[in-house]
Amino acid sequence: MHKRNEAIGNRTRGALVALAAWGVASAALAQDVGVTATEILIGEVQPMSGPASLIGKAGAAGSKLAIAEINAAGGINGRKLRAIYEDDGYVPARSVSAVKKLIDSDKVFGLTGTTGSSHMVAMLPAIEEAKIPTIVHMAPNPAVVTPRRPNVFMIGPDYDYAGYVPIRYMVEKMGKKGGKFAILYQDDDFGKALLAGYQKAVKEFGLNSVAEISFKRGAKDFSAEVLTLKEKGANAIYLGTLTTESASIMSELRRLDMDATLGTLWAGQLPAAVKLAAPSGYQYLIPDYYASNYDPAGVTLMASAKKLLGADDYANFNRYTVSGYVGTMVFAEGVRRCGANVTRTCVISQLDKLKDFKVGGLSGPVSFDNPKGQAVMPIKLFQTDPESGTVKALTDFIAY
Amino acid sequence: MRSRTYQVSYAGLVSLSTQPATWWWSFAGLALLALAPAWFGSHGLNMLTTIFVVSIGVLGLNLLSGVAGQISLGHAGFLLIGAYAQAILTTDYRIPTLLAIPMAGGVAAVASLVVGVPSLRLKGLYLAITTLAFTFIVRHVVLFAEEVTRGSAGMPVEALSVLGVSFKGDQRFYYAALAMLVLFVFITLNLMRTRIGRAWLALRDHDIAARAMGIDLMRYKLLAFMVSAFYTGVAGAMVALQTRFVNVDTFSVLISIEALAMIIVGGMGRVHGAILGAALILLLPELLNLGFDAAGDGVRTLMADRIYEIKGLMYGVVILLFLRLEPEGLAGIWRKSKRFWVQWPLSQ
Amino acid sequence: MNYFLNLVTSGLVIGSLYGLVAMGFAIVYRATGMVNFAQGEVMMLIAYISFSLATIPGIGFGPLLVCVLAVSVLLGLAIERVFIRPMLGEPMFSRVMVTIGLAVVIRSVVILVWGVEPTAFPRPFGNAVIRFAGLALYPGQIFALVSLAVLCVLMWLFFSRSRIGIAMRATSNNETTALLMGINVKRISGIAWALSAVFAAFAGLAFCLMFSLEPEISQMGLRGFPATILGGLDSVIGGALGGLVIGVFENLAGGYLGRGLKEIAGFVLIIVVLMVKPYGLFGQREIERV
Repeated sequence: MHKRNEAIGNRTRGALVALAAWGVASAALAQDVGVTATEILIGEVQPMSGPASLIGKAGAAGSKLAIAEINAAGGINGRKLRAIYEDDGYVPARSVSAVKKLIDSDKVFGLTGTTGSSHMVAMLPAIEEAKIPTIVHMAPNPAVVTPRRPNVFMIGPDYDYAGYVPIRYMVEKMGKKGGKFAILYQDDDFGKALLAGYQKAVKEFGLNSVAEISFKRGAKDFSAEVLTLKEKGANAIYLGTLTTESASIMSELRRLDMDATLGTLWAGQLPAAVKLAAPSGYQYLIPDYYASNYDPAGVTLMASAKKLLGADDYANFNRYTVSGYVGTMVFAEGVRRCGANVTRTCVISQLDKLKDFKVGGLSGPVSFDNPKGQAVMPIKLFQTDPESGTVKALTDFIAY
Repeated sequence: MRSRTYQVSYAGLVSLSTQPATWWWSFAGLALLALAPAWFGSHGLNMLTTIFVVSIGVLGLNLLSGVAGQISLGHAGFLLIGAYAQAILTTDYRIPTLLAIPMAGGVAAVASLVVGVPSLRLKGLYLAITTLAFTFIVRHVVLFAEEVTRGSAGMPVEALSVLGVSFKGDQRFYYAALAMLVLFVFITLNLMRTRIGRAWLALRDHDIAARAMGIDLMRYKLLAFMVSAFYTGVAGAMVALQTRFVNVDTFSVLISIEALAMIIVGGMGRVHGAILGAALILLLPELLNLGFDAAGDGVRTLMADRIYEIKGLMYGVVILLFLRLEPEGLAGIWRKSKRFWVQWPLSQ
Repeated sequence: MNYFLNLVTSGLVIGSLYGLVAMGFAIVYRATGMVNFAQGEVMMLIAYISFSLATIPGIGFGPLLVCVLAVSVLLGLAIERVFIRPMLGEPMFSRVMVTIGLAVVIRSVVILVWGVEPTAFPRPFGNAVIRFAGLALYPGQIFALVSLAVLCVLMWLFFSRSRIGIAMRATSNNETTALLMGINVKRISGIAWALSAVFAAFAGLAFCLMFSLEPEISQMGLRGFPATILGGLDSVIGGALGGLVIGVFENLAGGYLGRGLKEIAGFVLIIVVLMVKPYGLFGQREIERV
């Protein structure tokens, strides 16, 4: 009896010692969650299925490309990058579930993909609590950085720039100051941000805004809206639409024989959107803070994508691929600057100090050293060429 | 295990169960669930919590469609109303979070009259599509009434706290969800054994005959809608408390269809069917993930791009298989297994 | 006035799309008493198959249309035989859920095979706007209007003059009696589904010619419901007319009221109509025996 107690006591004591030794050893290694001697694990939540799958898949592909390039060059200070991609189907509740899985179950070191804007807002509590370094690049949303979360960094200007820049160009460089301006915007917070940018330009240049029409996301038929635009005589119209809607709207405009100058936002640059809109023959303006598929930097990246990505991802290459690439590259830079001792706190503080980080002409320089941790990127203006179904750059990256 | 189809007293007919074994097993099951936080990490608990919360909603839909026979595709609309009611009541009116939950259910129940009153005249698929219309309209109203609902931006939701005890973390909220589910299971079982439950069954099976027998159709139809909406409103409030954020995207029409799938897969009209159906449908993506992981890297890289569509495909295939092979759903499988066990070695 | 006329014209165009979808719903309901929730997805599948067929070098629109129709008939028959017929005798709820499951499967398969990117559908009639009588329409839009009109006439003739059409009316009236009268009820069911697929084919083609080829085509299925309810679930011509009414109503609401009301105008209308006529404008009242 006495012996048995002692035996148990010995065993327990042995276990405790082992536990303590393991604890000390772990501390000594100073390895953070998701980091091993050979690998760093990052995570992304993207809409890979559902209405936004075009965008989500492109973003994930860009990230995969960045990782492939980094690993091909030997990794970051001897560690390779690996990523886990979770699909949220563009539903905020699933985004929350996915990010919890990445943080608690998969134990990723950082997040480089954060799906849509309202989805990011839903995920914020979990991300904030885990203090996990996070790069937001797909859907920049002011609510993410107001108030500032120390571990969250955002690449991209606010959406209202997308509304402001083309209108300004129309006034300053295309002589449309006397025109009748109008905007067609999607009835959600992304569309409203575009409206805000448009209204800012209208106020700043004293323009005549004749119509501000909203439509529901997912609408296919715009005949009523375009007819209203025609009634009001609009001839400088901003299309606050996501992808294929612009093509529908332009075909309606052409049908009603409306000769208007058009502008839209960066998603209008998607090759699919440009090709669909081409038959209507409008040369519309597109602001973007990333290079297009036809800029030298874009062409170079596509060549790399052809080698390192699958056929589908290469075929679907668009500015969201570039966004995913840049996001992961920026994160990798934060990791690189921490040298051998890669911890979350180190990466966060390095990213905090990031200034003028260049990504090879794919965008303007990225700087997080400001109170919001937001890289407000300079914007390039493009114009479509319906004959060839491509876009050409009108300006370089300008900070507005 | 004894077969329990033979009752000798009215009390026996009405009681929830005459076998002490049922109660013991139920308690054991509950105890097991209560210990879950010891085995599951945050993600696992989150999944279980989602199952519990969704089950409450599915129980509600089950009452309406499975028991009372009124096919409804308006589930998503009530979830949306419940979730937003919870958010608005706690944020704008500073009502304590626990009290707001039944109030959210109440708001949904009142809103259900919008569908309930038309339902008095409509039958079958006409009713189903009217409820579908209701979902779209609710969505539009929420987006339209921006001053109240913050429109498309969505609203953050305060965490649940009862008398100062916060249920914020995953573990704590798990218990809150479990408690809520047990409560609603009891309410359902009780409803089913009262005259209300029997009236609903009569309404489902042959409403004109029921009316001839003196059952007030109007009253019971409206009651079915309101009770079901109350359940679903509460479920919506719980979803809001779990994700701490509401926005119209979370509750699309697909959710209504998913809820119907849960009832079919689980078994219509049965309480355990609703819960099992919810569990299976919600766990399906995870199971598929495990399956793909087990199949190895080769399979995974082959399907890499297409994995999400394949999951969607499997989801549809599972529904079709259940409908074709086991129309009574998981509850039916359970019943048949029990009968097999009881009758062995003479079982067929 | 021009504004009003333009709105009505656009309404008729989009309404013919709704009408084509609604006719598909109606004919299945008429013959089998169930709603095919996969109608939008069948439309999507046929549209994508047409796209692939259109890439065959040198194929003109005539032969393409014939191929597409053949494919849709086969598809309709196959779906009926494989998925619907085994469920005969099961409660209506289960039979309808099969179509919902089928919808999910078809949508996933289409995206698996063809991808998610929206693509331009070949325009066999060109892109030029056709102007007449002060109105301007694209060939695709004219196609939609003409298809609806032609199919309506054909359906009217079918139901009133042809043997199969009359047999279908008999089956939907009372299946058992029809069986006793020597009608092959199973074959009627198959024919109904095949016809429904043909409607879906025209709807899908019209959509692609007007807009583009994209996975969102399947959403048209849901958008067609108000039309079919308005016209009455079992009335094929009613569905077509219901579609036109909904289309015009939506456009007028959008043009004069705005604020995104266009999207729900259709749904509000059907709720109002159903209050007065619970079986739609042209639907048959279902007589139940106790």
